Amino acid sequence: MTVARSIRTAVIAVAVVVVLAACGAEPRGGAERMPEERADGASFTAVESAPAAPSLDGELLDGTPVDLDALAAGRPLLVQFAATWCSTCADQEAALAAMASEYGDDLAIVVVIGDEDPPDITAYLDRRGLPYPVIVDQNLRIWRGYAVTEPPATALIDAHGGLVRVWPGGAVESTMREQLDQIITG
Amino acid sequence: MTSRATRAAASVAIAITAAVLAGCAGASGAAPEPTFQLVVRDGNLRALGVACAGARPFDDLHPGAELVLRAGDGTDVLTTDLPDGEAVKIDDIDYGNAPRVPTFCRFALTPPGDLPDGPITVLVDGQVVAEGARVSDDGMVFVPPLADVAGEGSE
Repeated sequence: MTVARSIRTAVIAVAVVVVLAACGAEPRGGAERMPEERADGASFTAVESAPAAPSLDGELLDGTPVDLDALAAGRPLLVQFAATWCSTCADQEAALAAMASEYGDDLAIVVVIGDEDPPDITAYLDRRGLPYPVIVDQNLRIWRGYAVTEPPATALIDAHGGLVRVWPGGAVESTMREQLDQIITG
Repeated sequence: MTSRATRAAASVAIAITAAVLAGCAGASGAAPEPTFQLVVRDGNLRALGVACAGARPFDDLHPGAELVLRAGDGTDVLTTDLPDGEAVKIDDIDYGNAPRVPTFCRFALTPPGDLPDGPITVLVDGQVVAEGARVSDDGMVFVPPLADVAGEGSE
Protein backbone atom coordinates (compact mmCIF):
# COMPACT_ATOMS: atom_id res chain seq x y z
CA MET A 1 0.00 0.00 0.00
CA THR A 2 1.44 3.39 -0.97
CA VAL A 3 1.69 6.28 1.44
CA ALA A 4 -0.87 8.24 -0.56
CA ARG A 5 -3.34 5.37 -0.40
CA SER A 6 -2.78 5.02 3.35
CA ILE A 7 -3.48 8.68 3.87
CA ARG A 8 -6.57 8.53 1.69
CA THR A 9 -7.86 5.53 3.62
CA ALA A 10 -7.23 7.26 6.94
CA VAL A 11 -9.01 10.42 5.79
CA ILE A 12 -12.02 8.41 4.63
CA ALA A 13 -12.13 6.53 7.93
CA VAL A 14 -12.04 9.75 9.93
CA ALA A 15 -14.78 11.24 7.74
CA VAL A 16 -16.99 8.20 8.28
CA VAL A 17 -16.50 8.42 12.03
CA VAL A 18 -17.33 12.13 12.03
CA VAL A 19 -20.48 11.61 9.94
CA LEU A 20 -21.66 8.73 12.11
CA ALA A 21 -21.03 10.74 15.27
CA ALA A 22 -23.02 13.66 13.87
CA CYS A 23 -25.89 11.39 12.86
CA GLY A 24 -25.94 9.84 16.34
CA ALA A 25 -26.10 13.20 18.08
CA GLU A 26 -29.88 13.52 18.10
CA PRO A 27 -31.14 16.77 19.62
CA ARG A 28 -31.85 16.13 23.26
CA GLY A 29 -34.43 18.05 25.19
CA GLY A 30 -33.93 21.28 23.27
CA ALA A 31 -35.76 23.52 20.83
CA GLU A 32 -35.91 20.79 18.19
CA ARG A 33 -38.27 18.91 20.48
CA MET A 34 -40.81 21.70 20.76
CA PRO A 35 -44.29 20.96 19.36
CA GLU A 36 -44.85 21.65 15.70
CA GLU A 37 -47.76 23.44 14.07
CA ARG A 38 -50.92 21.56 14.87
CA ALA A 39 -53.04 20.18 12.07
CA ASP A 40 -56.66 21.31 12.14
CA GLY A 41 -59.04 18.79 13.57
CA ALA A 42 -59.61 18.40 17.27
CA SER A 43 -61.11 21.13 19.38
CA PHE A 44 -60.27 21.68 23.00
CA THR A 45 -62.59 22.21 25.92
CA ALA A 46 -61.61 24.45 28.82
CA VAL A 47 -62.12 23.10 32.33
CA GLU A 48 -64.14 25.85 33.98
CA SER A 49 -63.02 25.01 37.50
CA ALA A 50 -59.33 24.86 36.61
CA PRO A 51 -57.19 27.65 38.08
CA ALA A 52 -54.52 29.27 35.94
CA ALA A 53 -51.52 26.99 35.70
CA PRO A 54 -48.39 28.11 37.55
CA SER A 55 -45.54 29.48 35.49
CA LEU A 56 -43.46 27.23 33.30
CA ASP A 57 -41.00 29.97 32.44
CA GLY A 58 -37.58 28.40 32.16
CA GLU A 59 -34.86 27.21 29.86
CA LEU A 60 -34.63 24.02 27.88
CA LEU A 61 -31.55 21.86 28.05
CA ASP A 62 -30.05 23.74 25.10
CA GLY A 63 -30.69 27.11 26.74
CA THR A 64 -33.80 28.00 24.74
CA PRO A 65 -36.13 30.18 26.86
CA VAL A 66 -39.67 28.81 27.01
CA ASP A 67 -42.99 29.51 28.68
CA LEU A 68 -46.35 27.82 28.93
CA ASP A 69 -47.67 29.28 25.68
CA ALA A 70 -44.66 28.11 23.70
CA LEU A 71 -44.65 24.66 25.26
CA ALA A 72 -48.37 24.03 24.81
CA ALA A 73 -48.69 25.71 21.40
CA GLY A 74 -52.46 25.90 21.70
CA ARG A 75 -53.12 22.34 22.86
CA PRO A 76 -53.29 20.51 26.20
CA LEU A 77 -49.94 20.00 27.88
CA LEU A 78 -48.74 17.15 30.05
CA VAL A 79 -45.96 18.23 32.41
CA GLN A 80 -43.80 15.44 33.74
CA PHE A 81 -41.62 16.14 36.78
CA ALA A 82 -38.62 13.82 36.84
CA ALA A 83 -35.03 13.35 37.99
CA THR A 84 -32.20 11.31 36.58
CA TRP A 85 -31.95 9.21 39.75
CA CYS A 86 -35.68 8.49 39.94
CA SER A 87 -36.21 4.79 39.30
CA THR A 88 -40.00 5.00 39.36
CA CYS A 89 -39.94 7.69 36.67
CA ALA A 90 -39.25 4.91 34.16
CA ASP A 91 -42.78 3.62 34.64
CA GLN A 92 -44.06 7.06 33.75
CA GLU A 93 -42.09 7.17 30.53
CA ALA A 94 -44.09 4.30 29.08
CA ALA A 95 -47.36 6.00 30.02
CA LEU A 96 -46.24 9.27 28.45
CA ALA A 97 -45.15 7.48 25.28
CA ALA A 98 -48.58 5.87 25.08
CA MET A 99 -50.30 9.25 25.42
CA ALA A 100 -47.99 10.81 22.81
CA SER A 101 -48.76 8.02 20.38
CA GLU A 102 -52.49 8.06 21.04
CA TYR A 103 -53.13 11.81 20.90
CA GLY A 104 -50.37 12.85 18.48
CA ASP A 105 -50.48 16.54 17.54
CA ASP A 106 -53.40 17.18 19.88
CA LEU A 107 -51.18 16.87 22.95
CA ALA A 108 -47.89 18.48 23.98
CA ILE A 109 -45.54 17.01 26.58
CA VAL A 110 -42.68 18.59 28.50
CA VAL A 111 -40.33 17.14 31.11
CA VAL A 112 -39.26 19.37 34.02
CA ILE A 113 -36.13 17.83 35.42
CA GLY A 114 -34.83 18.74 38.84
CA ASP A 115 -31.18 17.81 38.46
CA GLU A 116 -28.37 20.31 38.49
CA ASP A 117 -25.85 18.79 36.14
CA PRO A 118 -26.61 19.13 32.39
CA PRO A 119 -24.17 16.33 31.40
CA ASP A 120 -26.02 13.98 33.75
CA ILE A 121 -29.30 15.06 32.19
CA THR A 122 -27.98 14.55 28.66
CA ALA A 123 -26.76 11.08 29.56
CA TYR A 124 -30.13 10.30 31.09
CA LEU A 125 -32.00 11.44 27.98
CA ASP A 126 -29.72 9.37 25.77
CA ARG A 127 -30.17 6.36 28.01
CA ARG A 128 -33.95 6.67 28.16
CA GLY A 129 -34.48 7.95 24.62
CA LEU A 130 -36.90 10.66 25.72
CA PRO A 131 -38.18 12.71 22.75
CA TYR A 132 -39.67 15.66 24.66
CA PRO A 133 -38.46 19.17 25.38
CA VAL A 134 -36.78 19.26 28.78
CA ILE A 135 -36.76 22.23 31.15
CA VAL A 136 -33.80 22.22 33.53
CA ASP A 137 -35.29 23.38 36.82
CA GLN A 138 -32.06 23.71 38.76
CA ASN A 139 -33.44 25.63 41.71
CA LEU A 140 -36.74 23.68 41.69
CA ARG A 141 -38.70 26.89 41.20
CA ILE A 142 -41.16 25.22 38.83
CA TRP A 143 -41.39 22.16 41.07
CA ARG A 144 -42.36 24.37 43.99
CA GLY A 145 -44.94 26.18 41.87
CA TYR A 146 -46.65 22.87 41.24
CA ALA A 147 -46.15 21.65 44.84
CA VAL A 148 -43.96 18.79 43.71
CA THR A 149 -42.05 17.36 46.65
CA GLU A 150 -40.74 14.18 45.06
CA PRO A 151 -40.57 12.81 41.51
CA PRO A 152 -42.35 11.51 39.59
CA ALA A 153 -45.34 13.81 39.39
CA THR A 154 -47.56 14.66 36.45
CA ALA A 155 -49.61 17.77 35.74
CA LEU A 156 -52.22 18.32 33.04
CA ILE A 157 -52.88 21.80 31.69
CA ASP A 158 -55.78 22.37 29.34
CA ALA A 159 -55.43 24.23 26.04
CA HIS A 160 -56.62 27.42 27.70
CA GLY A 161 -53.91 27.41 30.37
CA GLY A 162 -55.99 25.96 33.20
CA LEU A 163 -54.38 23.52 35.62
CA VAL A 164 -56.66 20.49 35.40
CA ARG A 165 -54.86 18.05 37.67
CA VAL A 166 -51.59 17.31 39.41
CA TRP A 167 -50.89 13.68 40.19
CA PRO A 168 -48.21 13.28 42.88
CA GLY A 169 -46.39 10.02 42.25
CA GLY A 170 -47.26 10.26 38.56
CA ALA A 171 -50.34 9.34 36.58
CA VAL A 172 -51.22 6.05 34.98
CA GLU A 173 -52.43 5.75 31.40
CA SER A 174 -56.09 5.20 32.16
CA THR A 175 -56.26 8.22 34.43
CA MET A 176 -54.60 10.52 31.93
CA ARG A 177 -56.78 9.19 29.10
CA GLU A 178 -59.93 9.80 31.12
CA GLN A 179 -58.97 13.44 31.66
CA LEU A 180 -57.68 14.02 28.15
CA ASP A 181 -60.82 12.63 26.55
CA GLN A 182 -62.78 15.28 28.43
CA ILE A 183 -60.74 18.19 27.11
CA ILE A 184 -59.83 16.95 23.64
CA THR A 185 -63.05 16.79 21.67
CA GLY A 186 -64.29 16.61 18.13
CA MET B 1 -48.26 21.42 78.60
CA THR B 2 -45.36 21.09 81.08
CA SER B 3 -41.88 20.14 79.98
CA ARG B 4 -42.31 16.80 81.72
CA ALA B 5 -45.53 16.15 79.86
CA THR B 6 -43.90 17.26 76.62
CA ARG B 7 -41.05 14.84 77.17
CA ALA B 8 -43.46 12.04 77.97
CA ALA B 9 -45.52 12.72 74.86
CA ALA B 10 -42.37 12.85 72.74
CA SER B 11 -41.18 9.57 74.21
CA VAL B 12 -44.48 7.91 73.40
CA ALA B 13 -44.45 9.26 69.85
CA ILE B 14 -40.92 8.03 69.30
CA ALA B 15 -41.73 4.64 70.72
CA ILE B 16 -44.79 4.31 68.47
CA THR B 17 -42.86 5.39 65.41
CA ALA B 18 -40.02 2.99 66.11
CA ALA B 19 -42.46 0.17 66.80
CA VAL B 20 -44.40 0.78 63.61
CA LEU B 21 -41.25 0.96 61.53
CA ALA B 22 -39.83 -2.12 63.21
CA GLY B 23 -43.04 -3.92 62.38
CA CYS B 24 -42.75 -2.86 58.76
CA ALA B 25 -39.17 -4.05 58.66
CA GLY B 26 -40.14 -7.47 59.89
CA ALA B 27 -42.91 -7.96 57.36
CA SER B 28 -41.00 -7.53 54.15
CA GLY B 29 -40.42 -11.06 52.88
CA ALA B 30 -37.69 -13.64 53.17
CA ALA B 31 -34.71 -11.55 52.09
CA PRO B 32 -32.03 -11.15 54.74
CA GLU B 33 -32.84 -8.21 56.92
CA PRO B 34 -30.36 -5.36 56.71
CA THR B 35 -28.99 -4.34 60.03
CA PHE B 36 -29.20 -0.64 59.43
CA GLN B 37 -31.96 1.62 58.15
CA LEU B 38 -31.78 5.29 57.35
CA VAL B 39 -35.26 6.70 57.87
CA VAL B 40 -36.10 10.09 56.37
CA ARG B 41 -38.90 11.61 58.42
CA ASP B 42 -40.40 13.60 55.57
CA GLY B 43 -44.02 12.62 56.22
CA ASN B 44 -44.74 12.64 52.48
CA LEU B 45 -47.95 11.20 51.06
CA ARG B 46 -47.11 8.02 49.14
CA ALA B 47 -48.50 4.61 48.37
CA LEU B 48 -47.08 2.16 50.91
CA GLY B 49 -44.14 0.17 49.62
CA VAL B 50 -43.32 2.29 46.56
CA ALA B 51 -39.74 3.22 45.80
CA CYS B 52 -38.97 6.64 47.16
CA ALA B 53 -36.40 9.31 47.81
CA GLY B 54 -36.47 11.98 50.45
CA ALA B 55 -39.16 14.55 49.69
CA ARG B 56 -38.34 18.23 49.86
CA PRO B 57 -36.60 19.55 51.90
CA PHE B 58 -34.81 16.21 52.22
CA ASP B 59 -34.45 15.72 48.47
CA ASP B 60 -30.67 15.38 48.73
CA LEU B 61 -31.30 11.87 50.02
CA HIS B 62 -31.97 9.97 46.82
CA PRO B 63 -30.73 6.84 45.05
CA GLY B 64 -27.13 7.20 43.96
CA ALA B 65 -26.27 9.90 46.50
CA GLU B 66 -23.23 9.14 48.65
CA LEU B 67 -24.06 8.53 52.29
CA VAL B 68 -21.44 8.84 55.01
CA LEU B 69 -21.99 8.12 58.69
CA ARG B 70 -19.34 9.85 60.76
CA ALA B 71 -18.73 8.94 64.39
CA GLY B 72 -18.07 11.50 67.08
CA ASP B 73 -14.30 10.94 66.81
CA GLY B 74 -14.39 11.84 63.12
CA THR B 75 -14.16 8.27 61.86
CA ASP B 76 -16.30 7.43 58.85
CA VAL B 77 -18.03 4.21 59.88
CA LEU B 78 -20.07 3.80 56.71
CA THR B 79 -19.67 5.13 53.19
CA THR B 80 -22.04 3.89 50.55
CA ASP B 81 -24.36 4.95 47.73
CA LEU B 82 -28.00 5.10 48.68
CA PRO B 83 -30.28 2.57 47.01
CA ASP B 84 -33.98 3.15 46.35
CA GLY B 85 -35.87 3.91 49.51
CA GLU B 86 -39.15 2.27 50.47
CA ALA B 87 -42.25 4.13 51.62
CA VAL B 88 -43.21 2.90 55.08
CA LYS B 89 -46.13 3.90 57.26
CA ILE B 90 -45.54 6.16 60.19
CA ASP B 91 -48.61 5.52 62.30
CA ASP B 92 -51.43 3.09 62.86
CA ILE B 93 -54.22 5.38 61.71
CA ASP B 94 -56.78 3.79 59.38
CA TYR B 95 -56.84 5.99 56.27
CA GLY B 96 -59.52 3.91 54.58
CA ASN B 97 -59.16 3.64 50.83
CA ALA B 98 -56.74 6.53 50.52
CA PRO B 99 -54.24 5.56 47.83
CA ARG B 100 -51.50 7.59 49.46
CA VAL B 101 -50.90 7.95 53.16
CA PRO B 102 -48.33 9.72 55.32
CA THR B 103 -45.04 7.87 55.03
CA PHE B 104 -41.38 8.03 55.78
CA CYS B 105 -38.78 6.98 53.22
CA ARG B 106 -36.61 4.17 54.55
CA PHE B 107 -33.26 3.19 53.03
CA ALA B 108 -32.17 -0.32 53.97
CA LEU B 109 -28.41 -0.72 54.22
CA THR B 110 -25.87 -3.19 55.46
CA PRO B 111 -23.09 -1.60 57.51
CA PRO B 112 -19.61 -3.15 57.42
CA GLY B 113 -19.57 -3.60 61.18
CA ASP B 114 -20.99 -2.36 64.42
CA LEU B 115 -22.24 1.18 64.42
CA PRO B 116 -21.26 3.51 67.26
CA ASP B 117 -23.49 3.96 70.26
CA GLY B 118 -22.75 7.66 70.49
CA PRO B 119 -24.00 10.50 68.34
CA ILE B 120 -23.17 10.38 64.64
CA THR B 121 -23.20 12.86 61.81
CA VAL B 122 -25.00 11.97 58.59
CA LEU B 123 -23.56 13.39 55.39
CA VAL B 124 -25.00 13.11 51.89
CA ASP B 125 -22.82 14.06 48.94
CA GLY B 126 -20.52 15.79 51.39
CA GLN B 127 -23.22 17.91 53.02
CA VAL B 128 -24.27 17.42 56.62
CA VAL B 129 -27.94 16.48 56.75
CA ALA B 130 -28.11 15.45 60.41
CA GLU B 131 -25.94 15.97 63.44
CA GLY B 132 -26.25 14.27 66.80
CA ALA B 133 -28.23 11.35 65.36
CA ARG B 134 -28.13 8.04 67.17
CA VAL B 135 -28.56 4.46 66.03
CA SER B 136 -31.63 3.08 67.74
CA ASP B 137 -31.77 -0.36 69.26
CA ASP B 138 -33.59 -1.46 66.11
CA GLY B 139 -30.71 -0.28 63.92
CA MET B 140 -32.42 2.85 62.65
CA VAL B 141 -31.06 6.34 62.17
CA PHE B 142 -33.56 9.11 61.64
CA VAL B 143 -33.17 12.23 59.52
CA PRO B 144 -33.88 14.67 61.02
CA PRO B 145 -32.69 13.12 64.29
CA LEU B 146 -35.19 12.30 66.99
CA ALA B 147 -35.14 14.54 70.00
CA ASP B 148 -32.90 13.26 72.77
CA VAL B 149 -35.57 13.57 75.43
CA ALA B 150 -33.50 11.77 78.05
CA GLY B 151 -30.32 13.68 77.42
CA GLU B 152 -28.93 16.75 79.06
CA GLY B 153 -30.28 20.12 78.19
CA SER B 154 -33.67 18.83 77.18
CA GLU B 155 -35.54 21.12 79.47
